[in-house]
Amino acid sequence: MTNEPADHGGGDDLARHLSDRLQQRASAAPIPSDGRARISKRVDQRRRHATYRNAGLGGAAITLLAVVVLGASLVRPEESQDVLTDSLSGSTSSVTTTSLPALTVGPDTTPPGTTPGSSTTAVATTQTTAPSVPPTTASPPTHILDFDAPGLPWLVIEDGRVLSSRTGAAGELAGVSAGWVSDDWQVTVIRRFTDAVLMFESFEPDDTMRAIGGGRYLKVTPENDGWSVLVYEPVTGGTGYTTTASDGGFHVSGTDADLAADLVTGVMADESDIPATLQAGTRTLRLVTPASRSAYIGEGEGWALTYQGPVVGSSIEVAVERAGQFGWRGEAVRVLCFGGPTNVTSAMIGGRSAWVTDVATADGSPSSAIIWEPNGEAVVVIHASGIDAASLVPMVQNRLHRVDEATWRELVALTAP
Amino acid sequence: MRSGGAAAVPVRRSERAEGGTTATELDREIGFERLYAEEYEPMIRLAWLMVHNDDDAAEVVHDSFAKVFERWDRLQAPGAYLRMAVVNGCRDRRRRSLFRSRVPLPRPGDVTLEVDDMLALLDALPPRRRDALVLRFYLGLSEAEIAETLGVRPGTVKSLVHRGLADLAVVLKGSRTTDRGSSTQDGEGR
Repeated sequence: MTNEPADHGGGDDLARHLSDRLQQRASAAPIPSDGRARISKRVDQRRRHATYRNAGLGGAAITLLAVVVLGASLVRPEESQDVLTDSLSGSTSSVTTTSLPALTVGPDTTPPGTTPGSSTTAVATTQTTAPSVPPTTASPPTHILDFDAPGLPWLVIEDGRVLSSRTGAAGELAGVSAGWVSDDWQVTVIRRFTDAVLMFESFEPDDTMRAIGGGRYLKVTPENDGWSVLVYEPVTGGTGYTTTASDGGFHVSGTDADLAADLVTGVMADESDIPATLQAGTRTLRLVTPASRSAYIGEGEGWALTYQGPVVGSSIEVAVERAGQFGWRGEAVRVLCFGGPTNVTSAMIGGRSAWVTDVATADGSPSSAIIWEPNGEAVVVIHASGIDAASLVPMVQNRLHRVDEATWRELVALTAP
Repeated sequence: MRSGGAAAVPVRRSERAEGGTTATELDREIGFERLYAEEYEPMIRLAWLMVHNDDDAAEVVHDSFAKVFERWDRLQAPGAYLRMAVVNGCRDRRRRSLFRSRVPLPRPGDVTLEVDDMLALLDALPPRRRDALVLRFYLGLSEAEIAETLGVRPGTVKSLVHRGLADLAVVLKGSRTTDRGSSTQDGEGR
């Protein structure tokens, strides 16, 4: 490779000029003279942090990961819906744990002491290149649940059954959607429609449309308190454009048109053989596989909770996995635990019915989850690593009442079928 | 200028050197030192180009080196990993501060070119196009290397670079049209 740029269609002069400018600008960059010392300090800090975490000193590090999964096959009794309605309307007197449907718990599929990566069937469907790593080297999740912070930070991802606003059909839209969480914890949900309506139109792309490469354009229009983002691409051999089933359309809740288009662009551009990734600050949300019912959220260099339905009438399978900085490919990927919860009990947490479970981990370290069912088809999960359910519940109970109602309402609204 | 993957130092896991330091540790430190000597300044400059902030650039680069050091024994190409870490770190930094305040790319004719307008226009590009252009025309990376660094397909890189240049060309052309007679026609006249 040389520094001499090739002509990429923008012209050699422009490319050369740009290269010159960049070199000129870069040469003015101040070079810190204490680089070695600062790097050494960082390495030491990381080592100490790892030692601290592995030793379990100072209490458990708790991860908070909230997952919303909409599953078309999930059915919930009406009374559970009433729990939610009552809760949202301010009434809590009628809430009882007995309204929860029975949960059949599947067996732990990860025998203690085994390395789960080679046998994680459900995960393997979406993490095809994840190597297994001995759990003895695993670090706990890095996302700290700060119980003193204002409000619980919800991360949301959904897999959906939604009404098609274009066809009017209550379709079984098996699209996968993703959530995006801004640094101020505003939640934006990107919902993909895979039943995209075929529309053949002759048009000239205008300033309101965003080119995303490959002759494709995004068209962003207001819709349902958010934005409809349709993907147009030229019809092969024709003069019109069409939305395609492969790319579909998107609905992006909240935010603004520009960011909505940014997010959808990010989803589409990264979509290939690896999941799409969106990042906001230190948080990363990924689409697992289009048309899959899996969902994933996590952090760019942290840990993730993968949930694969169904919940009601079957087992819960969760896997805590490490997401490498560069995605699931590569050495940084590992599977910590996989299997059904070892036990599930119901409880009232934050005025809402929830399931509480200890999650089996391959290395025997405590891990637990609290699971809410906001609307019968969604699941909200708080996963805590390094602490068992019996200890986690009172912590969350003491904290959850401080979750602002607007956040919860938004969460519920986002998951409404 | 470019940081094309420094070769990993061979590792001998069972040997122990003097002073209680294993051969693995020794090799890692030698290799890391070599990487540091070769890539520290280029990475600082790259980060500085991407975040335009001294402190942020240094933070990102130092963090990235620390990550490389931690993972040294598992890395096939520490230089490439370092580059990815720096780019990703810069992208995160930028997102935190600029995601919602990004200035849209000017329309043709809306701009009068100043000394650093080329770079200002570069900053106004969508982040991925901007990153692709910096990696291509500052570090001189190939499409495959850029694809690896950005975590996208090579075809996407081609599109990002092409469209990034096209965006710049359109604005620059508009400026030339509306700013006839100016010495800034090529964007560097002042």
